[in-house]
Amino acid sequence: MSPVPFRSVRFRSVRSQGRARQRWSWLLALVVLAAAPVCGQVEEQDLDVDQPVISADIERLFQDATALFETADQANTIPLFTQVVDALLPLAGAGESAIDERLRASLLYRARAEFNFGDNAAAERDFETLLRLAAEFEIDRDQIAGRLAELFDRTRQRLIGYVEFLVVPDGAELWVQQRRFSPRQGPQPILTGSYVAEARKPGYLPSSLPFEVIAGETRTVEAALDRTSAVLVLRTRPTDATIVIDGVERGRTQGQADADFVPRGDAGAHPRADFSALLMIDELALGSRTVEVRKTGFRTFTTRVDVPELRDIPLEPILLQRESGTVLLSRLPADAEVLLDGKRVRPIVAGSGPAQLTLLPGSYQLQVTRGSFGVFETAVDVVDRESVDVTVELRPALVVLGVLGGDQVSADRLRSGLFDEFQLLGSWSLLDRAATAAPLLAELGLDAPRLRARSPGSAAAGANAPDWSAIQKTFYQRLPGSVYLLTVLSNDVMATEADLWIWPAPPGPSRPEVRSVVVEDREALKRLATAFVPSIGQRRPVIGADFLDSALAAGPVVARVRPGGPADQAGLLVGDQVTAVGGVPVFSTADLRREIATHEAGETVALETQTNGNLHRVELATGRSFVVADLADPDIVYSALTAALAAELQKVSDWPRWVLELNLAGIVLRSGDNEAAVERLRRIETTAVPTLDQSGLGRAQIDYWLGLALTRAGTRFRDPARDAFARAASSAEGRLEWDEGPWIAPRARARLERLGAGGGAP
Amino acid sequence: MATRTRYRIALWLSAVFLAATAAIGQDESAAQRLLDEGRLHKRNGNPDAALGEYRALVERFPTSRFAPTALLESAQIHFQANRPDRAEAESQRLIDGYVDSVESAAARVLQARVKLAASQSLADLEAARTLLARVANLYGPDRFGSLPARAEARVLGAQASATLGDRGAALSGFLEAMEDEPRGPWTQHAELGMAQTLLAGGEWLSAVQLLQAVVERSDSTGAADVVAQARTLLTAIHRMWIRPAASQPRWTTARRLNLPTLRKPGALAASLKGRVVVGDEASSNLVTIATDGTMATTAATATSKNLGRPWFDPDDRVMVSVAEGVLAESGGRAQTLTSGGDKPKPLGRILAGASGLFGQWFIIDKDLDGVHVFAGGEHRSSLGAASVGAVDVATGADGTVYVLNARPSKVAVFGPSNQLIRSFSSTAEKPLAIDVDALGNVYVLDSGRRAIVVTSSEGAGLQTLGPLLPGGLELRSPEDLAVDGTGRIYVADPKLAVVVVLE
Repeated sequence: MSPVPFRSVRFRSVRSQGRARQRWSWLLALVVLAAAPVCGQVEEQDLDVDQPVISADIERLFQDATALFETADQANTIPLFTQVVDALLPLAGAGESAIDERLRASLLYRARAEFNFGDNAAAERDFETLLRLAAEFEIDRDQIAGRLAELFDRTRQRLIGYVEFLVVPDGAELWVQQRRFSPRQGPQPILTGSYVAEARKPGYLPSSLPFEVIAGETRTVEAALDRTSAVLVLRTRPTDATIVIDGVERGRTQGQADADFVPRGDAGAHPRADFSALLMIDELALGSRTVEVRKTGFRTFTTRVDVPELRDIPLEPILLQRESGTVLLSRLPADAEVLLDGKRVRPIVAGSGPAQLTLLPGSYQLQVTRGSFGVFETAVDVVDRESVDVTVELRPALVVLGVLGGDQVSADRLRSGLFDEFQLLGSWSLLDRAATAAPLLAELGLDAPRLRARSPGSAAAGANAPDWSAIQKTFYQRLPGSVYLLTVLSNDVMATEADLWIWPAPPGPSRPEVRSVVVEDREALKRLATAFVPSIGQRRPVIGADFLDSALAAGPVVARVRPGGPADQAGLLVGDQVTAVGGVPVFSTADLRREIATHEAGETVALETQTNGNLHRVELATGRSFVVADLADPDIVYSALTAALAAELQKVSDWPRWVLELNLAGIVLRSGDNEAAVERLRRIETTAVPTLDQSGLGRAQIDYWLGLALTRAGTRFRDPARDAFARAASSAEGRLEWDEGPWIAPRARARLERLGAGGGAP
Repeated sequence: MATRTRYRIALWLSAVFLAATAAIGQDESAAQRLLDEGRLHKRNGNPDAALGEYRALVERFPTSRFAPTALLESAQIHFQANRPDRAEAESQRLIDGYVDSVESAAARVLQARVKLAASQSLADLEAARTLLARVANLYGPDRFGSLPARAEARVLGAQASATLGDRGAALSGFLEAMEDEPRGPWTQHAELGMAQTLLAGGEWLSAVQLLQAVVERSDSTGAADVVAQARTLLTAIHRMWIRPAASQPRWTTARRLNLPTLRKPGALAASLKGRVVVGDEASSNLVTIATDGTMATTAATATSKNLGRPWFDPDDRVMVSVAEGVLAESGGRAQTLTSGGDKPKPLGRILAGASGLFGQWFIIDKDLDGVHVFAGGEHRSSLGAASVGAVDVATGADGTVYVLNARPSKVAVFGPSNQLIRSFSSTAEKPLAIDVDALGNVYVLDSGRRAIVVTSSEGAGLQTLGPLLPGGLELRSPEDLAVDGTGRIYVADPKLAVVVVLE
């Protein structure tokens, strides 16, 4: 083991102006140096002996010595340089140029100091050491005294001779004592002595050349190598490629191209550093050879090489092409985010074609997300030189956050039931995020006991409410999706029931809906899953009449005909009894509505009626009505409806925007976020005023909901609430939910009366 | 050594934790078993045994999450068994011990129900309404989300408001139960209540929508009774409003109701729900006809003298006066009524009667002038001078009392607190009987003209029928009249020996 004693020594700087101080420094240095071997032993386990480096202390010692040398107090530098030389000399010639450079500089400095103080013999010894380390060493004659230079020259004259190597063919390598010499480079300095030079080149028989070096003389060593085989000469980009000739592995490209290599042609598009060093493969048999260049992840390069005679066969630099396949993403929205195995990637869109991803061969999990509007997930197998067509079908994503509760059997049963039922929904992406969600749930303090306590049927439902707004935001940021589902078992031992906590992504309402299910009740899960496919985008046919069921009539009786409406135009009268719709007998108003609903909005329907005992048949051209969701329907999952509406808003819909917005506002109102509901309703009011009608679904509903939201928002909004209700109450034809829904005016009057009576927020 | 000690402590703590967890789990299981046992007893008609299980649960596991449920179900059993004090006490125990629980909300509603059941005046009703209003305030949707007890409180409170004549509070209460609560069992009650309130204000078209909603949802969440009431009202609206608007007759035909057991039908009554009771002057028997047409003869009155006019109470039970007092359909002895004043004496010649909302009776007796109010068999008050000369009395669905005076021929209308609201003259020459339909329309039998005079509740004439009725039947000597909820009119005509029905 090479000792590197000073690595851990804390060495005080001796750089100082005063001599006294320098002496103290010397004393200290000696003490430290004496202690150093001990320290070195302690620390030697930490040293990497295979990679000698100059320790910080030796470097500092060198710097201090050179600084001191410049102060002309050169006598004191000799022991310092001696310490450096003693430390570095054993490490010299190990290929670490910094050590060699510091060692040479120290030897030269010490020689100069010794010479200046008249110790010429010591200086000559240092020069001799220098030249033995490097025969080609030369001093900077401008920096040192002429007499010292003469001493150096004399020492070199005594130790060094010169040899000129002449080897045929060109490019052959010549080695002397593991040192490579370049032929035809003129005479080169070598220490006196006897040597054997080795000349070699692939495809040639190597040759040994003994020679003698005599101090001060120049010798010529000549050799001509005999060709023994043809040689294939090549380099690759990238390096580290395996060369196979006629099926036999013959070599591997390595290293980096020499500085004299200039990439040209196709290779010119790449930097020199990308190319390997030249590889020469000898013993190449004559004839036609198949050469393959292989590298993992790259397409194999194959070529035929004719070897007509024993000579070098150079190939153009070989550019290996990466293996890759293409994934073509059709219908990818411009603002969607694409993730491959969870990492974001940016597809290339060229012209009007589909977006493309060029990928290494392999299996990937592809995910496309577009905020809360939808997620698309699929597995893609990429094969080299092939393209895979993927049609992106963004669907709202139901993010399943897992099952809370200790009863593992029930948890598993419920989980599998949920997945079985929900996977049948073609219009949703079902994302199982239970594993990722677990730490998030813990972070947010959502656990089974707390949520059980918040269950609507629980004794402490009113207390310790979680911050659902923060929960909604956190999950959306960390696990993007459209709707979130968290299941809580009723107990940890043997749970027969569970609560399903469901909430939409922002900006939907942050208050969760809670559905209770019996673990074994697959029908309930099926119903729940079905409720995730809300029917929006449908228009109801309207006939412009109200009906009632009476024991005095066998069918629905016309109670009112809207002036100018379809029924009015068809001649239907109050008191008429409808007996059939489209030829199908009807016995109640429900029958009539059901039959009308089987017709497309706008279609003409035949009604058979009875008036004062006389039978009539009328043709009625139905009208069309938009629909606003019933806010009290237990069969609607409002979170799912929110997601569907948000998605509808993002595309070109045949529904007016205000209808979609009104639906969303209703859901927000239902959730109890009254101020947000007010904001949404006022926005609709502002943007859609010109198109809204006073009759049927429209302005009156906005006013009515505005009144409700303002009333619930607090007593300070009583006046605007009253104004809104007053407007709604004045709308004689305004209806809730659709054009033939409940009249708004009586309800608005009741609400108005309540406010007027000083009730404030009910 | 230290490591070993720490290890032992950890083991010990784990054991304690597991034991505690297991004990809690076992307690909850035992508590749930007691609750299930109690419910089983209740289903099997053994409420006392159920009470025992519930009591054991609350005493042994007071901190169990099933304890408030047990207390609530105990209170409900006491209430159904007509033990209001016990029901009240159990409810209070629940409210005090389990504050903020959903069961405590239900307990508060039960307390209000106890008060409603015991109400004898508007003040009692007002007190119950106050209790109900507190439920909505204490258990708001912001804290409790879906809460059936709150919806129930809103509906009951609105019904109380309607009875108290507070139309605005009634409408808004029903509306809040409809719109601010998730749809459930109380939604239809609210829709019916709102429809009835709108009808009282003449807004029949809006009422039709609500009643239709009740009827059309009858398959899913409907309470049969509520749906039947809605159907009745829709039919009444058809008859009374839509038919005239379409220039159609309200009543299109009259027919004889053949009752073989009746020889001389002289008195009758019809309930808003459609039941009919007919008294036979010859046999003193009562015949009841159910809504499905089945008939039953009551012989309980056969030995009695002075069979008076029957009537229905708000619970659809038949009441009838006899010489000994008032007999109820549920059986038992006749309730003797004694006159008020310094020298009270039993009433033995009761002509007619009607039941009020608070269980009181409005009685007309030949020996007393006017209409007198009795509660629990005791004379409480009279309706005063406006009822002097009364020949018949009827109560509307909202508790309004209609008194028919013969000389002069007029109808006096009294509110729920027995105050005179209005009176109007009748065109009847010899008014003999009065009844009111579900919409508040007034029907007076004019024996002089052998006709039926139909007016609105305000006295506006709507129609006069008779003596020749639609279909050709002619009244001979009509003695009593009744109208059911749909406006179907029944007339007892002893000379014809039939009951005439106008459809």
